[in-house]
Amino acid sequence: MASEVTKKRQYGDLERKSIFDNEFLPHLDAMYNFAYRLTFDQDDAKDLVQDTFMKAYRFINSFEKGTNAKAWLYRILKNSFINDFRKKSKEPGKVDYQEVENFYNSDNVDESKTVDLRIDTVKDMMGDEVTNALNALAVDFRTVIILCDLEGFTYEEMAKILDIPIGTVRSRLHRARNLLKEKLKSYANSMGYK
Amino acid sequence: MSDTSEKKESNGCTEFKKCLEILHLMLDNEASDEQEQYLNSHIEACMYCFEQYEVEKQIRELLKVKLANQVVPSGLAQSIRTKVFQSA
Repeated sequence: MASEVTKKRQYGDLERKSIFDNEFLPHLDAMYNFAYRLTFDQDDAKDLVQDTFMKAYRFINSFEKGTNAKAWLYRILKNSFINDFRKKSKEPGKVDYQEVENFYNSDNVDESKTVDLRIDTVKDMMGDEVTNALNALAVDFRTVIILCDLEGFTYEEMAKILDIPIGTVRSRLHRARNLLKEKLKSYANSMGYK
Repeated sequence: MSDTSEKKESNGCTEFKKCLEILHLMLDNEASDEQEQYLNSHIEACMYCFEQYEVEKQIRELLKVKLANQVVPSGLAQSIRTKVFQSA
């Protein structure tokens, strides 16, 4: 008999499949895109997503039906990326983890600094410039912008996904956005925008 | 980026640090009503902060609208489903 005291869930087989189909799978496209933005490789993205869904199913009893599946899945994906991808990576140079670790130390930002970018410059920008600028960021910074601005997660959800305090979410976002603006500014300059 | 002359950068806005912080919170839908009220009235008077706000807003729009999305390989959902249900 299920004990209310321990709250230990044990979904039946049909229930597990139903949760998987109805609450997990709908996020596939978004997760694939996220995985691609982390790895820049279609096959790696596919593996990462598959790995994530395998883990999600294996640990499905930790998931409370009807709650925020997206954040839960993204957390697994992010952890898989950090843990498994690092081990399996055949091209260590492809993703610079040293860069990532360096940046973990640079979360103490001066919040009054910002990059001087004019609205005229930004208004004329196209998809390529933005995509390139975003992809040029170190993975940690790219990640927070993707989670916040593309996926619409709240700071609290991001804190859970990334396993960092909310204060760090904010400061990392601040720094990431400044870096993004720097990239955009240098593209603009190289293109001869005013 | 070791410039510490904040006042010069802020172009005369004495509360720039506070504005910038609230600006980001607002655009991220994480600001309190009080903070939103503060910034909304501030940018009516402060051109510099207004421009910063517009720039940040525009960048978020660019990201949402113009960032290319990958085409998800067809059959991926089904193949994942099959593999997952076969395991345990």
